Amino acid sequence: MNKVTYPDLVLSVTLASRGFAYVIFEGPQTPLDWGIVDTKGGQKNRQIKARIAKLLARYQPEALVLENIKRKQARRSDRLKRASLQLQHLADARGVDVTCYDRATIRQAFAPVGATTKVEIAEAIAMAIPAFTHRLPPKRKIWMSESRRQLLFDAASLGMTHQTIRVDAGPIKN
Amino acid sequence: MLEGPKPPHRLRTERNAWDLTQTELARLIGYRCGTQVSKIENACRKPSITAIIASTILFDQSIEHLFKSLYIEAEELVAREAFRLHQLLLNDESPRAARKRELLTKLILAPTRRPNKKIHE
Repeated sequence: MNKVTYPDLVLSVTLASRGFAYVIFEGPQTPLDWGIVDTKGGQKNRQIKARIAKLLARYQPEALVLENIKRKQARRSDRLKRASLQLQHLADARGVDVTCYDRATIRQAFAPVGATTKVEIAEAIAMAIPAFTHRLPPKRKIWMSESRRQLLFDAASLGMTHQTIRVDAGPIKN
Repeated sequence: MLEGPKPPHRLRTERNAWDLTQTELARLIGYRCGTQVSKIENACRKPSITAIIASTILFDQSIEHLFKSLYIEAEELVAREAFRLHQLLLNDESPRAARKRELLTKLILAPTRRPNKKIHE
């Protein structure tokens, strides 16, 4: 059977212990849909897979972008590593290209705007995408845990890195 | 004909961009509850004409931008009917028929200007 995907749509997903965040991009700096999803109770990976499957069915993107968490430096739980693998298999089965980027590649993509840390990258994204400005997490103090909203910016950074590398759209502009 | 997804509505995009809840948007575009907005966003129902116009006013965007699939559907319908009428007028040499054909030719070509979907074998 022929499969139809929309060539401009890219789904980027960031996994975390409490859930995941996703952003669907239709251009380098134009998000179409985004959200933060909390997974509660047991079978968290199953919940993640079901939600991502829905997104893939609804938008039929050309690519799924994930963070490369296989590397030792990524320091993620075995459950999340399994979840990442499951999502890759799910995308493969639906004819969606899968790309994984590590933090170093993301930092490299945002280097032209002088953003290297997660906070700086989140600020650069908020500057580039006005729809995300009001979601920028508050500056983190040493005793604070990472804001839930940071997940959304992590997912956006993956998508923007992919768009920058793929379409050679040039450096991310502020 | 290829089975494919409809281009998604951008109503959800605009609503999220302005941080509106479905209930808030529902009130703004003439519905009573957020369920109606949810159904429109998920392409389970078509928006009313009032909701379409209210959305364009609210977000200051064109109908083509906000409701692309509806726009494409209407555009294809117009193109199909324009082609049919054009065929009927082909043998008519009168200036009135020529004037009509001038309009119809533009409409027939309109849907072909859109970018293509990518097809995987």
